[in-house]
Amino acid sequence: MTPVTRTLLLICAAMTLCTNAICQPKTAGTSYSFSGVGLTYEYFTSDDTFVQLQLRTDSVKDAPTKGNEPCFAASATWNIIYKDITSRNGNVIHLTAGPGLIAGISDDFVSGRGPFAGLAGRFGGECAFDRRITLSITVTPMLGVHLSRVDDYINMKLFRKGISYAIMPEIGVKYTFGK
Amino acid sequence: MRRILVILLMLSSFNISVFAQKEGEKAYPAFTFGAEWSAAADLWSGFHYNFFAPEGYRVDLRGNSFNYRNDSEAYVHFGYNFNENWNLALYVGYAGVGEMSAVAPITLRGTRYFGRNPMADRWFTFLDLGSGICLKRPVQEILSAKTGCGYRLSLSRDTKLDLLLAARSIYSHKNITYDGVPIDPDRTNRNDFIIAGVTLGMAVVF
Repeated sequence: MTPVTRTLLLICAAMTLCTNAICQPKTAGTSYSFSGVGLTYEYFTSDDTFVQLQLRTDSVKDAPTKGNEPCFAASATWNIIYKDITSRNGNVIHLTAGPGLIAGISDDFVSGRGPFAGLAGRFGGECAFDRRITLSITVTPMLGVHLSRVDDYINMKLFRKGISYAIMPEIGVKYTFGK
Repeated sequence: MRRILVILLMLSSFNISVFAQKEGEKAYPAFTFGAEWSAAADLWSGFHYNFFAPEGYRVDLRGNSFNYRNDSEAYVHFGYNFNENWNLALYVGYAGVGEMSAVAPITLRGTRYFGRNPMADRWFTFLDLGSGICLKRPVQEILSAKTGCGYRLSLSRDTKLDLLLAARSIYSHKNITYDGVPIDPDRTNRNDFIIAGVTLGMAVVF
């Protein structure tokens, strides 16, 4: 083997060492919205799809005033990164969308406290920075039903908060690990 | 030996990561905007009411107490960086205030960042003063004051994540009731209510 060939082989070997080992990243953090706060966990199932699991609290009456009875919701959404936008600083913003399921306990505008469940759509964007911090902004409209007790009857109605609260964006701050 | 040194030099060049910055561009943007949200713990309240009771006599009530109540607040802000250490911003928001109606403060905040490098993580302190409106009928003015400190995580030239701890005080007006009867604002000579507490929050600044 000539010295030039040996050098070229060493350079090629060095370049492969510089590449980060490919492993699917995971993120965990918190989300904040006018209607409540939550804990989120995301894990990538491929390079452009990820699953998000979230547990959040919703304020019963007017958020963010007064101390109210907390309500809870758990959701699981499957998301696709359908477009990447590169900012002028070189940060890549992923636009995501996907369907999912939400269930929890809450009141509604015309009903008392009770369980609810339904289908959700999650739309938004997120940007992962070099500091292993990911910022995201999303909206999650939901179409579901809500059960409440009226006298001796169980009343089932359309869950209106899932539609009206959909316009309130949710800001997420997450830490990325496993990348 | 020289060959090995050249290869090592090329190796090291693959591992440098830098914040991209165009030549001639400042290390910080001139204008800033962002959103801030905080959890608030209201700890102390004081009041002074002077009004005419339904029976016609004048009533003067004053007092204060320590009692805990949790609230939250959210703001959007627009500001200007005078240099790498000073920022002045206009804050508009919505805040819960104890057992009163929610308020919408509009304030000016001056922030002082420590350290010379705006691209590095650093501590800061701020003073926030202004007024706003109390969201009840009739709509009345409020006064708001806030001071605190925080730590800024620099994610990129244009994106920062702030962690904040502050003490806030809000002066507003409560709906007065006497013996269970609401007192009309026309029969009220004085309606002062102050609530103070601490806030813990986060902000994203672009």
